[in-house]
Amino acid sequence: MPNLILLMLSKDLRRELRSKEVFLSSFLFSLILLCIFYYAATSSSVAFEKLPNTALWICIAFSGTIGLHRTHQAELQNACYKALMMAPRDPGLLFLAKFAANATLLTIMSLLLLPLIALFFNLDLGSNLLKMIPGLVLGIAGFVAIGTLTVVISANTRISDILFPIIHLPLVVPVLIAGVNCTQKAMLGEISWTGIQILCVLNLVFLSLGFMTYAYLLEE
Amino acid sequence: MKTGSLLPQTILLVLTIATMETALIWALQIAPADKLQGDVQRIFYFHLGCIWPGFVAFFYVLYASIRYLISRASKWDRRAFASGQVGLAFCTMVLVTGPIWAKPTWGVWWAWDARLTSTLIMWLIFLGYVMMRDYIDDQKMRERLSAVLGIIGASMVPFVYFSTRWFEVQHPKPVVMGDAESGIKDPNMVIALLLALAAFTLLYLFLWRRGTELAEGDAKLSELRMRMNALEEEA
Amino acid sequence: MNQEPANNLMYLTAAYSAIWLILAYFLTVLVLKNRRLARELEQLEQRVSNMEKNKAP
Repeated sequence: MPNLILLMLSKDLRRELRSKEVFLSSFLFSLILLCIFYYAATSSSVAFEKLPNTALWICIAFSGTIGLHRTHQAELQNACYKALMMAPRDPGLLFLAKFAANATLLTIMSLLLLPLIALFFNLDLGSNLLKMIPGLVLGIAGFVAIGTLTVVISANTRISDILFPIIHLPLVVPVLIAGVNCTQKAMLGEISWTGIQILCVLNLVFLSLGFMTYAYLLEE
Repeated sequence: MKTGSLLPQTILLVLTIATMETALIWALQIAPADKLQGDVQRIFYFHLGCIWPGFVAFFYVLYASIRYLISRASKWDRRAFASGQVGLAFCTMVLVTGPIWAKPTWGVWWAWDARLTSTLIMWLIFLGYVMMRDYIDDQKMRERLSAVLGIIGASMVPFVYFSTRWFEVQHPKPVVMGDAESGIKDPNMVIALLLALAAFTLLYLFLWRRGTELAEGDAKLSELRMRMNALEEEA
Repeated sequence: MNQEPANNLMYLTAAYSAIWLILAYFLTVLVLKNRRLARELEQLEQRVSNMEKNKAP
């Protein structure tokens, strides 16, 4: 099992390094979002420096959605799912592998984004950076766990690109609420244990749901 | 459609209308007006009356979706879908009456109060569930994917509900008056509330039955179409 | 925030009419769909039985 996950992880990472698809679509998109954020905040005389956490999660939500959709489309084009389904493996394991790959990509993206946010918002991350990691990683994991499922669901519809955010984003609201709270506390130097506990529970539920239902999604 | 199901249908309809009528009279006439909120508080009876079958509807979606994935019988898919649709309608009623109650009570139409927020998210989740079906052509695929989405969506409902409450402490509560629930003291208020709950539960059952029958008719129609196509090809 | 009773009644009326309007919309859609379905079913059944009759001899 760890073999399979590592295999798919390295495959997805290598493909990403070659094509830079997710990087281009997610990271650069986030940069533009940050610019819009600045002008939206200052023109309504909101203290821009108070919003780094908001900006971070808006970037994760938007660019994560784009990235998930993009990677899935690439897989579809190369008929990778057909090949995966033929693999003599439990589809639940395939889900975990796919989830691991997606989560790694989005986590790397957000870690690249953090210094930029620190720079733009005059944020002194310093020692708080480590405190942010659990909330950030768990939040992204939950976001991606649901996304790995919903992206397959929406890909089978006629309007997959429109439908994906519509069915994905409402489902991840609990994750986003808890994640936002965790990182906000972390930026102030505290650790929100309640938030982390909730995120752990949510991840557990999402992952087991995915583990059990992925087989039904891949059927033909 | 079928004559056999006509009698219980009619009984259910009559019962629904009668209960709804009594609930209306109790809520608008017999129950005393709230001391603080005045007559606006009467919205609350039917507001709560809507949300209860809404929750029931979504949990039924979960149940029927699981049954579908186990049995692969299309009837469970139709039941789940009909339930989701009715739940969405009830949720819409809650979302519309909520702000109408909030305006005179809190002074604003919308506040990011946990109850309103969670209902909105729930509404969005099930809007996606109901919408998605229109965009999948293959019947088996549609049934399977909706079942999975129904399971994910319905199991998310409690989390939406709790997560909005856990983190609410961070916001100042916009409640000007006391909580609505604390307002119910008079026994007639309790009766009005119970009657409204009963009326909307019956209404849910009635609408869900009708919706299922409609979906059954739809399935029959597409089956006939297929048969006709086959006949035409033979000819 | 205590408003005039008349104003209060306005909100009350608005809320209850909203419920009935949504319900009426839902029911209308249901009835219309049902009617169309019955009509189509009838037509189709007739056509299928005609075709089967033609085929039989």
